[in-house]
Amino acid sequence: MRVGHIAFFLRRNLRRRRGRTVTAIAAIAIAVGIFHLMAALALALRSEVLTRIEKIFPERTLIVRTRSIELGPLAFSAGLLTARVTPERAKRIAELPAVESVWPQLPLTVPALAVGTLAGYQGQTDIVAYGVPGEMVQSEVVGRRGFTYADPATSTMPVLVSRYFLDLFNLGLAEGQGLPKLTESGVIGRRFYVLLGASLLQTDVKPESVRKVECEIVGLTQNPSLLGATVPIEYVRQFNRWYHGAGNVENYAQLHVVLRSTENLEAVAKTLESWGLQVAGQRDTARRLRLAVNGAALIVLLFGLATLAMAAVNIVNTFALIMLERRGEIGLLRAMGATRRATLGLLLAESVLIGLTGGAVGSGLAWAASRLVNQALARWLPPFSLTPDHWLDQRAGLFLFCVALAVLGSALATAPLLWRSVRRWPADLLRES
Amino acid sequence: MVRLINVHHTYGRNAAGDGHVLRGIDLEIGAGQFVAIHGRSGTGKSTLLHIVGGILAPTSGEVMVGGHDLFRLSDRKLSALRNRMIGFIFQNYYLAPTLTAVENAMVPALLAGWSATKARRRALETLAQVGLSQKADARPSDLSGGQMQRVAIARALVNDPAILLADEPTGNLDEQTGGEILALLARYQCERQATVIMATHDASVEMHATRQLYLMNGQLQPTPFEASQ
Repeated sequence: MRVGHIAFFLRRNLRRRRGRTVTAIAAIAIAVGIFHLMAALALALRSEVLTRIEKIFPERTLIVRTRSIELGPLAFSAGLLTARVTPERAKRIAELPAVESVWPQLPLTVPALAVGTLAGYQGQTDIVAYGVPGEMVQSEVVGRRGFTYADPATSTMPVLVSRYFLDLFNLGLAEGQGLPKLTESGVIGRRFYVLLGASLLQTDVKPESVRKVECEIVGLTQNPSLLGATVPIEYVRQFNRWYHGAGNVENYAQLHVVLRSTENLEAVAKTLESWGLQVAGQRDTARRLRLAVNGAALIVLLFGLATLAMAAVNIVNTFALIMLERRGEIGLLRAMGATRRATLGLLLAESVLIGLTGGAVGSGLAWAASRLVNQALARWLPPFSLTPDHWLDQRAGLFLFCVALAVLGSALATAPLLWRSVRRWPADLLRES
Repeated sequence: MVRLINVHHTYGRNAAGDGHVLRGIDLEIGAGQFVAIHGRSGTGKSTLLHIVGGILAPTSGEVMVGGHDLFRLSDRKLSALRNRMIGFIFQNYYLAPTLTAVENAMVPALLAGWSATKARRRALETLAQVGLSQKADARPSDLSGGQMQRVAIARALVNDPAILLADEPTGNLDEQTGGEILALLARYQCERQATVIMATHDASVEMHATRQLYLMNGQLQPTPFEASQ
């Protein structure tokens, strides 16, 4: 049978059985729509939250620092009993075969007072600052705009700010004082200055030793190890030299040891601990969180699948009834000379078209709903670093998958019944109709 | 044209053999004959026509139509033969409710591979032949029984078949309309030199039939009025 002839029958059948066609399309659209929303939520959970977990708790990274004695929230250096994190030790760690790279974090050992304007208010605060190599920043920051060293006397120092600073400001100060909330894009590019050698906590500041450094926020980081202000390591080295002299022994606050794979994590940690260092890994935390997120995504997806399965039973029953009622039509077509294949093709095309329309309508509406929900939540929820950018996934692939699922489901719901009908003798079908 | 050799047909089986409707039918019908098959309800007239038309397989026996052993043909060939060589008229019309009169009549032509335009033109011609041009765009639900039967005849004639099988075509019609339908079939048989095989209760068919057969106890018996060719 020609495609044009199939279209001839399809047009008339669908148009003149409008009520039934619309009901079938609506049933499929509702089922596919619910599944689409559940799948969108599961995908968003996985893609958005897991990405954040991986960023915040990098599995292959060990944080290595000087061993301390912890008494509740207080930690004390173990003094002579422990090894310092020096450049030499960092080099030795980098030479371990299982280690991919080692990024030192050098603390600023000079008091520093940041002065600037925030939400219209002039403010100043003591800050903690660390220096890290520019390469380390590559994979860390949002909105990176250059992170290299230049003479601080004549140029502006690039500064990374912890993303959690925004959370603290927005959820604390801004909420409490009724100040406008800060966004990432609103923070990046802001300028302020730092007074080295000055502090609100120290009373014996010598004005002649205070140096002013112009700063610009070039990005935000979610890395919890990079709290406070993070600047290129050369600046911190330079500032420490200014105040403590060239002979000052450089001790890192901690090292970020990136391993080639997670397989060697335990072995490397043991080695480093045997060198008198304290090692913290984030693999277990990351695993627990990932398991929780994957579990939640699975539950949501299973709910969607259960809805789809229940709808599928109804849809199969509906199609079965339709086919039962159309036995006479099938018998007649066959009696007039339609081959089994042509009859099968014609009726299958009809259910595929219904599936396609139902799937496209349901999935399309779910996609539009996802968009609206995402927009509404982005507007109403406070900005927070763990808040996903999207609560419902909007990728086109999901729409196409849902439509394909509806088409396949409709075809599979009809094909066996149709096949059984077209294999029977037309006279039997006519007699039973 | 049509030859049946020792055809048996059984609907289900039980100890009494109640389902055995055709018991060794041997029949030969030449081209251009108008054969009326008489018999009481349930004697197997429709079954016999369905078997001749290739829409029901006999339990055993051979059915030759136009030189082809029907039930040894592939589905494609059997379908093509049904489409081009045989026209079926059913007592219950079996019109597609979603199609208009002309669209119903077009269906066999479309299945034969004609274009929609050509099929529509041909269907309108056959509707004119059966005197129903003015109802071409009416749906079956808007037609009377006689009009629906005319549409069914137009549909059966659209591919100009050599064999016309009519299963009690006047069974649901009043006497006058039934007479008109019989006259239509007789005219087609004469003009086309087609073979018409009709299962009927209608005694008035004697006027048109060239041969009459009785189906009794699963077997065909010639009537005293069987006409010579």
